[in-house]
Amino acid sequence: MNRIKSNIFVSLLLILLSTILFFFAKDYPGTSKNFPITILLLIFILSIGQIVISIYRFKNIHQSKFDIRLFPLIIFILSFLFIYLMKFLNFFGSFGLFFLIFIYLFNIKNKKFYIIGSLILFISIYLIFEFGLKVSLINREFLG
Amino acid sequence: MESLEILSNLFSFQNVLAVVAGVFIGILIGMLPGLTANLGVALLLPVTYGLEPTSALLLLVSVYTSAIYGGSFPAILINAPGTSASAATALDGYVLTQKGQFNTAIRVSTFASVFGGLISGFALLFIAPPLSLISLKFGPAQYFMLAIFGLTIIGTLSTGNFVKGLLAGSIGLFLSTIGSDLDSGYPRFTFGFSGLLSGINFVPAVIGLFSFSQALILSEDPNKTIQLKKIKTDAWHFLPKLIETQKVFLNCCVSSLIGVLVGILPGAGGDIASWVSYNEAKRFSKNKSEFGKGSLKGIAASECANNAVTGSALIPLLTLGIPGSTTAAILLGALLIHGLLPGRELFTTNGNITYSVIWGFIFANLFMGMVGLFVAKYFGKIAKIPNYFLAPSIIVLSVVGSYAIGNNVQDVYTMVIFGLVGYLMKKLNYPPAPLILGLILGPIAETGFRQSQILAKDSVLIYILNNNISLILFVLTIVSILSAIYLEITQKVNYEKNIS
Repeated sequence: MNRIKSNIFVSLLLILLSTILFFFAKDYPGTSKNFPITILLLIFILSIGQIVISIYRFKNIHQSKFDIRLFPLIIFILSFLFIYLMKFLNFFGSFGLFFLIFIYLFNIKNKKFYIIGSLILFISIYLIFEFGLKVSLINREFLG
Repeated sequence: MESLEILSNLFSFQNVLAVVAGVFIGILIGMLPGLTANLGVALLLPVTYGLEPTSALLLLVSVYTSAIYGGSFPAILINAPGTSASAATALDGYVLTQKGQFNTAIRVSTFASVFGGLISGFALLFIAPPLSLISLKFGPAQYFMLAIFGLTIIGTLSTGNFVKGLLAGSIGLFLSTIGSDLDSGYPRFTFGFSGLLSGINFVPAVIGLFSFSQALILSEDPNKTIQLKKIKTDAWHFLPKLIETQKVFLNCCVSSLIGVLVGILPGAGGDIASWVSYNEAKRFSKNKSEFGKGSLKGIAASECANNAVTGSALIPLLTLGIPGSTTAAILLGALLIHGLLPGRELFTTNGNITYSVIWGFIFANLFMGMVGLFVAKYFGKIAKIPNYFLAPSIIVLSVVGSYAIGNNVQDVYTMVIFGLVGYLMKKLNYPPAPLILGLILGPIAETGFRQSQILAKDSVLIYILNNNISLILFVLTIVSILSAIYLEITQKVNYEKNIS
């Protein structure tokens, strides 16, 4: 997808969302609806402006492709999964596993550096948060 | 007596430790290409929850100024600026490295950064207190206009496309309305999720937008490491030579002034200051041809200006609550977390904290120079840390940091969602800073708007604009929008001229 198309796509999405949310907001009681409605109208108008600008400004410009790589999306999904797993494995168990998965995901060659670095990181987190900030990352309070 | 109180507060063990840690962490973050001052301050924000307000703010401002300085190392050694504010430094710094004068370049950049940082620290000390008197004249109408002006100027200046900046700010404002209405208690846009009743916590949002999203960007190229060539370099001297400092002294004075002025302007950060300063140094130089070929004046101009921004960007933040840079926007959040409201109170009731932080900032700049020159020798090893280690490390720190805010897993999910939003925003060239500012300024704007509605006898617009301060802010808002439109049109015309 090139820049014009991606800009227009996002603007259309914002127009759609602001319209839907407008219908929710208009039923709010008293003055509680005024500010959100004003902002939603602003988003609506600016999105239309963005579509116009995208067509006007970029039509002659060589378009770089808008690409989203696979790794960031995989990591995003994995992060969600491992945050959920913290319920069962605690923070250190879950994110220790998360770190190990990266060895295969990124095909890391220098495993020794990676594992030693990870251990130092986790020990530092434990010391800083458990003793410095009194945030328990191990006991059951963390289980959600 | 007051001065003694500030001194004893500043030099308490916890505060000195905060400055020392902040300087080390800041320099390390700045040294690593891809990591920014925003990321550093956002990641450390939750750590400050457990600290006293003075220590918390000292840690964050030390990271801020040191990360900007640290960015000069990769710019000079490998032509890859650690932060965007050091891009101009690379022009001459890298040429000097190739000529075998890496150490000279680092010494000059250190001298200039410390010089700029100190000037901006003193500017903060002397300009901010009298300026804060203006905030006493602020009521609901003025606060509403101030929030709108702050958002507009950040939105228009922080990106090449001002509509995207304004859109990001508006989305931030909208997100700030999610949760129970403060007046009626009516749940707005919660869709039945009880977790949304208290609204969106902006700290996980900041961590997600600036840290987690950067980890996703780094993971695009996990095996990227910096290849350092063996270079011959000049002899190491810990202190800058007198001849070097004499050569760049005048430059540093002018560049500091430019940096301070640019920093006070909301939205204009270190990158703008360093380029303006570099161009001015070149324009007034007798030997223009030396620029771009290893000019010490070029390095000094850029480095001095970008560090001069760090202190002055805090002036509009501390006095009026308008951040002068993206990092200052995150610092605004830090102030609010610790119950400190920008304005006159910061310099009166909370004067002990504020003045300790300002003096600590000055102290951090001095210490930064010493640490920088010491760490420079080990730069090669630090810069080699590969993305495959940085990316998961940032993710883990983001997770644990957002959990530490309130021992709540929901904050962690919020952070991850904002991380994806930040990643997509970066991909689509939407600036994340206005979104965060909208989220922070939203309640201020809405409260000001609703109080004005109650106080207004006729039209709310007439009430808001019926005083000099609001009128000035309104004119400034219009001017910032019009100037952004003008820039947009001239960019288009220039582009078409270049094509033809």
